[in-house]
Amino acid sequence: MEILNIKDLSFSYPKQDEKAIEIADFSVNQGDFVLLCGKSGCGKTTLLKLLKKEISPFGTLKGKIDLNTENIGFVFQNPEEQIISENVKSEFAFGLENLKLSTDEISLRIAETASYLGISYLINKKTAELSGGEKQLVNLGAVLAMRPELLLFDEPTAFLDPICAKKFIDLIFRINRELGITVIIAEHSLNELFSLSSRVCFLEKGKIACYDTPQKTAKFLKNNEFEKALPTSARIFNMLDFEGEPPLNISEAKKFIEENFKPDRFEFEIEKFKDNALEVKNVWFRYEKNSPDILKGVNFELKQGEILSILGGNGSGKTTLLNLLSKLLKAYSGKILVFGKDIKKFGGNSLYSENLSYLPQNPTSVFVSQTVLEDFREIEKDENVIKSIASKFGVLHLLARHPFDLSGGEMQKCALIKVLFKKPKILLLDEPTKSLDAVFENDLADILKMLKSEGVSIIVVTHNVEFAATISDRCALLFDGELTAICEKHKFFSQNQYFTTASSRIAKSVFENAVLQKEVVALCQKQKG
Amino acid sequence: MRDLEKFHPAALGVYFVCVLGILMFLNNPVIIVISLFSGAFLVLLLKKFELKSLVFLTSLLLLICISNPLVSHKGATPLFYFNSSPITLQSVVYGLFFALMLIAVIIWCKILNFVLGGDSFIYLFSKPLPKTALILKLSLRFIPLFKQQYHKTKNSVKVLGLYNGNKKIKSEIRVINAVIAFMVENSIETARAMNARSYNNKYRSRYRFKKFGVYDFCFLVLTLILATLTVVFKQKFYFYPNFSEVSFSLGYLTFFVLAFMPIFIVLKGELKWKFLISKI
Repeated sequence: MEILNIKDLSFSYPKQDEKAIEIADFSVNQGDFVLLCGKSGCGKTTLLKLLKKEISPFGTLKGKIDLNTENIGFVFQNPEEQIISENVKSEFAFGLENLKLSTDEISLRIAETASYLGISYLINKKTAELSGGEKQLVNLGAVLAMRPELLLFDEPTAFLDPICAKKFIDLIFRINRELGITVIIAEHSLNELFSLSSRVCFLEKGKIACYDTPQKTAKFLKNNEFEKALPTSARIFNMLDFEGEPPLNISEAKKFIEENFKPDRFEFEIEKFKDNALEVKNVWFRYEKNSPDILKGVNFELKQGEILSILGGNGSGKTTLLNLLSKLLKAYSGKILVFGKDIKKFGGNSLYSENLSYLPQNPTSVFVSQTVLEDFREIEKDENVIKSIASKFGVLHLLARHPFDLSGGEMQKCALIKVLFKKPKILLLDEPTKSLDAVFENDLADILKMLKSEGVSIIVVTHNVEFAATISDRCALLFDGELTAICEKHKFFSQNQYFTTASSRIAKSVFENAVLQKEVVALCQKQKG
Repeated sequence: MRDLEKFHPAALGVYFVCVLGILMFLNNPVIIVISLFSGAFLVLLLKKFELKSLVFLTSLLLLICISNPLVSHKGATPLFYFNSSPITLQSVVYGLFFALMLIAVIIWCKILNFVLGGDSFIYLFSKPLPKTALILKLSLRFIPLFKQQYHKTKNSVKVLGLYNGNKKIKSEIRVINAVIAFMVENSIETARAMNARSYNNKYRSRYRFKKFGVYDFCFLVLTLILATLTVVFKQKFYFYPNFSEVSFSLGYLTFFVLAFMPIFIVLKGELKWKFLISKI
């Protein structure tokens, strides 16, 4: 049975001629798991919001949306902004009170939902104490307790780290399979979702370009700009021009490589660097006198013109380390040298002018003005310089906008540009790919490589293994307060079994040392001739 | 210590209003001493004692004790002359007891905050004033968010070299401005999330996360009886010009029972556990 049917729908925002949404025909069956994908600004969010009339955007709507249900749940992107109450229990109760349920019914629904999602242990906590992943689980629970028949998700994992994101997606999948709730989910990272979905809808400029099974959509996306977002397994297949269905997960792709190719190895060169930009010697840190040590003797150096990625799980102290390097926190033991000079000897703002810049995880905190231009002007007075740099990075059209009106990717890019106006020689980045789609991630990688060629030394702290493998010279793992295994990226990722790129997992048994998709493809093409 | 929080917020609310009301309006040294001791004892029992607050309270005590006799020269018994004005015994003692009363009020408010904090407090108002309660609830949620964003923004501004240590106020204002803009933006999303969960301020049910049981009823009745008796059998006390006499009165006894009631409840709970453990 169809739960949703759209006929000749068009929607445009006020004062805009261009139609944000133009859909001739779109229907979803009960129990389906539909993935909405497309470049940022393609209309994913607008379409989802049009389906939930309480939050429909203002504008001109033509056409028909037939919904077979009244109970629609909506989970937003940012876990923080959608939390209403001070503690978890009342957060659950809020929606149920709106449904005018009695106290007994509410208690039962809270108990039932929390146990089903496995978050009973959170029920008496305050919402402010929860981690991002836990917050998003509470949001899902609060919506699920209202017993929706259709669940809409607007990039629900954009603010989560990969491990939480994977758990969250598994949970959505379980809800779909076990409870038969129809799911429509908009996402930009498709790696996990692609093979789980029953149908994939690809939007381009508000129009449906393709709405089909995951395999067929993967084929359709070949040579499209958005192909970058596809799971690695499908991309490798697409790039090799094979006939048939593309593999959508690692094990299928592994089989495909093993069947078609002979063992080989990838030869890589190690770039030589000379002088140290940053030296960290035996640094120890804890937040309070009686709290446990977060960093236990961290040792490393960053060469001039090098990109170093620091990987590690949640709470392993990655952000703390960056705060120490940018003098926001002080180590209680050990030394940090910036271009050979002790970091303590940099007085006032001298460390931050043309030496070292730090882009924190949350780009909203970088903006303090009404427009992006004003924010840039705080640092760079010359408007011509601003304009030339803005056009170089492709953000000229954003200058007049309010920073908070930008999309996640645009905001991250503008924040980075603002930081770059300080002309840093050392750049520290904390999770720069969070909430970026594949296209923006690619842009960012290009920008970082360009900076590297200009001699800037960069440290990137990230969960994103693929991104680290693309941009880094060396990688390191922060675990239990120590920086272990600092080495060249090919060595780093090919010796790891779990903490490695999808390409390496796929090709490991056949191709030695190949950790990037282009390296695997190059080796394959060599054999194909 | 769990036992005290188990009571219904309404019963607890009435209790704290009674204790604090009697303490502040009767202004009687015996009442002040009783509430000070019971309050301090309760704070220790609830393990909420902080060395920092002890320092603050002691300095408050000293400040008022010294400043009151310097300002007020009423009273019949001059101790000595300072700058040719008399420092009287009565005004020293009045200052002392006034300070002790303030300290007792602070201690009891701390207990109130702990036992009846956040959501239970709002719950008290949610029946007569549902909209106010909701606004209060949303603002309570915003405080930690504001703090968090403030720290993030301040750090970002610092590492951009835009936080000028010499123009601290100007720099702070800029940070706070940015945080307010962020919060406004944030609240739009929150409103949207409320709508998405079918919020409608006219028709809502009210989730009673605690039920008013027999124990709550007994606690409430006992509180009201004791408080009424204390007020009826109160003994008036004057500091000026001479101290009035203090003799035994029923009001002191009833207030003693009232102020020590939570301690009995907490101790009973602890003893019960001790007993249970020895049985296990």
